[in-house]
Amino acid sequence: MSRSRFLSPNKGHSYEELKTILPGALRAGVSVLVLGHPGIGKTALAEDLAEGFGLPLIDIRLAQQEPADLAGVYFPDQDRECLTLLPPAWVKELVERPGFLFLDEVNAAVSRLHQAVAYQMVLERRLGPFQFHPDTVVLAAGNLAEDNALATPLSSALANRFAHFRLRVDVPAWIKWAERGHIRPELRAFIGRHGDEALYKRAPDETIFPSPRTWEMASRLLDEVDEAHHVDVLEACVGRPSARAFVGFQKMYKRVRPEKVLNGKQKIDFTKGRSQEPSFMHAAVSAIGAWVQNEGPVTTDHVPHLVSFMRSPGLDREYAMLLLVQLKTNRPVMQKLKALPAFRDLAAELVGLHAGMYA
Amino acid sequence: MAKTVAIDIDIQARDLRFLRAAETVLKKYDLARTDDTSGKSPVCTVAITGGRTTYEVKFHTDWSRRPTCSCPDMKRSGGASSAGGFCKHAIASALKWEDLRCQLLDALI
Repeated sequence: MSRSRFLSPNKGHSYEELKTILPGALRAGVSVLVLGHPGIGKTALAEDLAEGFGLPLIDIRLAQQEPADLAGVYFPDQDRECLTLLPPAWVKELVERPGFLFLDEVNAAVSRLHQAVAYQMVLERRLGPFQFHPDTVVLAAGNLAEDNALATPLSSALANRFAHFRLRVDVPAWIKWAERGHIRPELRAFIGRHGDEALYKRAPDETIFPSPRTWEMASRLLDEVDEAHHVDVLEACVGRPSARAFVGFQKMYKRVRPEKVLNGKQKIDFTKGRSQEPSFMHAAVSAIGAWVQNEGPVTTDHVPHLVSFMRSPGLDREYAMLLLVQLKTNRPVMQKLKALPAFRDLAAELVGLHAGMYA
Repeated sequence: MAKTVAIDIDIQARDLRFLRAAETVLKKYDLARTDDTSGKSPVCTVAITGGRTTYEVKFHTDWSRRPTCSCPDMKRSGGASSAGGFCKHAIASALKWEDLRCQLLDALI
């Protein structure tokens, strides 16, 4: 059987699964190592877990620390005529009060001394003579060996003391995060449409590739850089194939003018020409959803046109469902829709249709 | 008077709890509906009898609020053990009466 040229992004647990599993494992005192491709959300996971524990996050990359610096420095104590060992500030913090210590890129700790330091922190909750506060939580993470991303194997002694979890690329979790205002709506729509392979795709020899981190970078650059250079910055962040695919999608996205649709001045016939393409349907629904959520406000006059859009010729009802999933947290809009008999008829149809999907 | 429609649950549920619950209620219990339009928001109450306990599901027929049920499932978890905040009694009632069916959308999105 031939192996894919691309590294598999789909093995392991989703972000949400790990968010559920890991607190229990950490509370049970089990040492946890989260492995995953670079840029897929290990740090974000640590931030979420730290928030769940109500502890400040202390993010340490061992490979960027000199082993000698980790141990602290000896300072002359004139009164006692001896040297006193002073710890790094973050160690002092973890000794004095509980914190959430995130040891990122732990398998990039290239020296034996680094590994010994990691071993002490993870298993003994201390660094040299400095014992961490008993309520301090330690989580380790690292990249996969197949990524060639500064990964060196952990010693078997250290590796054997961890519960190993693999974080996989997780489009729904990423979109949920992206909806909190971090990522441009057309990028979210593109990832939502094309799934895991759009969010993360990397051949072993590629250095510029799409990942949650590089899409976030791209989104920030698109906000700041003149539109004439959008393709350049996209290629620089996510690579040429993904940049081209996104630009194609964006053209479709921009064909829809949500304000006109909601004012009844643009009707879309999805039975004709390129409007029949599922990508266009997805782009249109995403554009309308993003406008309602971010631009608005949606008035009572808009609502019948919103229902008409969901009933556009050729628009598969599942796309109407997709739009409603985007709008469900927008209580004022949903209340206006529910008060409309035409929407109630549509909803009854969608309920029947959705049930049919179970078959 | 609200229109009653025949329910033919001949579909296999992806979320088995959803339809299994509805099927159980519709097949084994009696559902009786009473409408009250005197209040600000019209309400209908569905009494579900035939089991050990009688439960009451209350719908705001203008869909201004989510349905409620007197069953322990809805009280404990808002129907979370069924589907999208709907207990099996609420699902069955909404499936039985066509004018309530739209409200099941809340359980699906």
